[in-house]
Amino acid sequence: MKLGETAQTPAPTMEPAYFKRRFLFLILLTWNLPPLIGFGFIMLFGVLTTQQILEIITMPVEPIYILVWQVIIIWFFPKKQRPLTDWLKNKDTTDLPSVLAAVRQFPLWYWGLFLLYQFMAVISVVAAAAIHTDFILTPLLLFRFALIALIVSIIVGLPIFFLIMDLFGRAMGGLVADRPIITIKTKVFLIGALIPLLIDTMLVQYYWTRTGYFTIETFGVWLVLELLAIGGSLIFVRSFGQSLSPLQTVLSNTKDLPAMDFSLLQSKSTDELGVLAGSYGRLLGIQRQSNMELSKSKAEFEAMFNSISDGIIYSDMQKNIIMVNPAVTKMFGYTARELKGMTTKKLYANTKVYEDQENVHYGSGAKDNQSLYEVQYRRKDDSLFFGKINKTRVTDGDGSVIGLLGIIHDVTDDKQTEEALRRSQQRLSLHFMQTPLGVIEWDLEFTVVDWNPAIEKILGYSKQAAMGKHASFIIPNAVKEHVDKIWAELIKNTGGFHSTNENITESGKIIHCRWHNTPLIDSSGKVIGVTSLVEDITDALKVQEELKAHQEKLEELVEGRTAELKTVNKELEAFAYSVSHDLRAPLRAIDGFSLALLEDYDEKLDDEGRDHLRRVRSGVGRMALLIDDLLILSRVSRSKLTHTTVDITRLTRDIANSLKELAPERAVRIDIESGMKAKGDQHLLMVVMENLLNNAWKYTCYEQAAVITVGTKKHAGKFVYFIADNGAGFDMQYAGKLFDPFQRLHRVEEFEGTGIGLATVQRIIHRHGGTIWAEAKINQGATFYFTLTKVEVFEEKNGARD
Amino acid sequence: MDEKIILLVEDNADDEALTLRALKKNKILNEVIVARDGVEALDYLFGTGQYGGRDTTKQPELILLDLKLPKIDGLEVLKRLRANERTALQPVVVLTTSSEDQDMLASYEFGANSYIRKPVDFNQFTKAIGHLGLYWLVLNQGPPRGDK
Repeated sequence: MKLGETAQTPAPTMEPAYFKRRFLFLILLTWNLPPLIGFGFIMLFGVLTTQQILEIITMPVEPIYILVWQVIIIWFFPKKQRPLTDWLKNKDTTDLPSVLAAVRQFPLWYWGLFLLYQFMAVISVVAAAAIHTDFILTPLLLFRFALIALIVSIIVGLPIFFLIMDLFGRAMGGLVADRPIITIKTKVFLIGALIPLLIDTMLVQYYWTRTGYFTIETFGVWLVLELLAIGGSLIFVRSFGQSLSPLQTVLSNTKDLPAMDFSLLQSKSTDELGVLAGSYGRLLGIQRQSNMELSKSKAEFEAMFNSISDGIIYSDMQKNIIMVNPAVTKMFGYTARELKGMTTKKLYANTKVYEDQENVHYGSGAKDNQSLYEVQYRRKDDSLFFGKINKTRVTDGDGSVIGLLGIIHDVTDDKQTEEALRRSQQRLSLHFMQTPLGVIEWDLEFTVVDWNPAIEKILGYSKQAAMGKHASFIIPNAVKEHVDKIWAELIKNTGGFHSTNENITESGKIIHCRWHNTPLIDSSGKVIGVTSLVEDITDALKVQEELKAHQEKLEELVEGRTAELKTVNKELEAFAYSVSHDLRAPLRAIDGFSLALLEDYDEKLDDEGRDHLRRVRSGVGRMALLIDDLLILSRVSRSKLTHTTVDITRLTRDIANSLKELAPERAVRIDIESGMKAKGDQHLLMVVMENLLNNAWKYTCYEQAAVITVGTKKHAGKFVYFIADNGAGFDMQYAGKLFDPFQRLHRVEEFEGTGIGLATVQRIIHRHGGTIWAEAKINQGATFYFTLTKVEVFEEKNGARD
Repeated sequence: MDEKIILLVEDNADDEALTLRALKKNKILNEVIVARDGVEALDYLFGTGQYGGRDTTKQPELILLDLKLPKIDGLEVLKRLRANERTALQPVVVLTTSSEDQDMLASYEFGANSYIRKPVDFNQFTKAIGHLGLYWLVLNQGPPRGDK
């Protein structure tokens, strides 16, 4: 709120219509009261008789005159007060001052009209008297009446008008309608001109009435006196105006005051008023200057107060917070509103500490006005932090303490940074001392500034021996140029960060080192030195070379072996092919022609001959079987595995069905577990199941109630497939030979077979990464188990899902 | 109607005798031309060499082709006769000892109509030849002779 602004005018509560009536009544009173008083005067002085007055009033001239003025008033004033009536309808308080100003401002012509009215009132009365009565109006009499009217209007008319306007304001309910602004100059003029006029006029009247003598000379003297009075008054006003004009300038332009040039206020007048006005101008200048300085320093203070990152708390002596800056709200998490009036005690982490600290710093024993200490604070969310507080006792002019100013600096970050720095320094020095890498620090002259224990070992020089030496003492001549180039790049920070080159040790040995160089940069980005990490790679290089040689040899060897293997493989394939082709052709001839003999020469052969030929043919058959089985075996080893999901159950069922079809006379029960699936080579797994099922079929051929079971189970923690029969079985002591080629545990006469089938099965299982084994007892059946490693996981997963 | 000729391409005399015996046992009495190597087989088919001047419009109803042959092997013979328009559509049955996948695949790839592995057991061989003759010479309708 600006200073000097007055309280707002209370809003009037009356109805617009009521106000209008009131206003009109008062205005009519203002206009009609003076003429009434005028009549009173006329009666008092006995100018007209009562009879004459009654006649004047009842005759048309005077009533018409009065009526015309009443009409003018009724027409003019409602217009004048319209803004106020409008305002009363809307009650927009912001407009009130301007509305009031409009209502109470009466233009000059109004005053002129007012005076004319006053003047004419008298004229009209005497004119009416002259016309309607026996009253004789001489020019002198008219003048006399005019003078009376003048006197009455000035002494009576104006005060009554102002009085009534005041009454009007009070009637509006506190709405004080100010009087019209009348400047000092006006007042001086009025006093200087009107008072002599009044006195002179009254004197003339008195003289005239007493003596009955009034001539042109009298009027002339009166007029001269009046002119002199008015002239003197005007001269006085002018001089007075000169003295006052600076003040007037100021007073009439209060709005432009801040920008006004106060030197204009220097009054030309030397009287007291002029000096006063000039001094006032200077005073204003000084005040403006100090105002500007104050607002500037206030702005500076506020900017500082608001933007400083340290928290500032100002509290009274009861430790209640009066003012905080934004940093405090950030620091503590309270809003400024919450903090205001809060006791500072709440901001401390520990109440006890708070009391101790307060006693030390502000108790009776406290000596200094200022104190600095570190303490733990508590945020709104109860989290804690360390702050350094600088407390100042604020004293007023006579030295008594009026408040406490605390400036809090959050030192959490400082503390963390300090701790981190300390740790990193510790780590660094530990690394420097302990690392197997050599560490050298160089200055810009390429001389040694630091030298760690590892580099002592690598290059042989002790730290004392190396410090301050130029790098050339460890650089062999051969690599000097290379190193110089690297150094030039490094100190420009453009390269040379890694290098592998020879170095020379204290004992003169040439070693290979790998260098990792980092320019040290100061805060302005300038290179101030270089740190090098050095790794002795002499041994590593040697090992690497040896390794490379070995590797090459190995590769050669592998290549050779592979080629050999390929050749062997090819030969094997060719062999298998020719076995398949060429070995079988003669067999077919033997069989074919043996049969031809049996058929064509039957009558020439005896029984023994026929038996021989039958044996020949049976031999051929076995031979063909052997060849076929061998071919399968070789193919199993050679062929590529194609892994797919194989439906073992279905495959086994197909095999079982074809076995049953081939020997429908046999009653064999084959139980096959459903849902067996495996990942593997479809064709090869078929060969496996064929062989195993064939075996089971074969070895149960003497069984009355043969049962073959195919399924899966857990065996020693493994997922296994099994094929069990209740047939001839075998002696477990020969179980080891079971899977060797051409090994048979039964005579051919008992059970047919080549002894290659199980070898083939084993090879297939092995190629799938599984194992196969059998358990059996003579005449109590045999069970073959096998695993398929790669399949196991697949099966387990399936199992888990079911 | 012309007599249906069988072309037997077989280098092994034993196998030739056995095949002819098996045909006879199955009462297949068609004329059998025997070619003892690949060249001879092609000469017969295309009317060249020793068969120069042969009326090549008359082609065998069935070709029994062994794979292992001197000079030009069976697969090459198959390839060439398939490449020639006169013989491109003739039924060819590969009759061989080999049961290698590669041979089987190659034969079919070059357009063999059938692949039969000769069984060692002569009874079975005879049975196989019987089936073969019945199928290709009696049941099967050969390609129409467009050029006649």
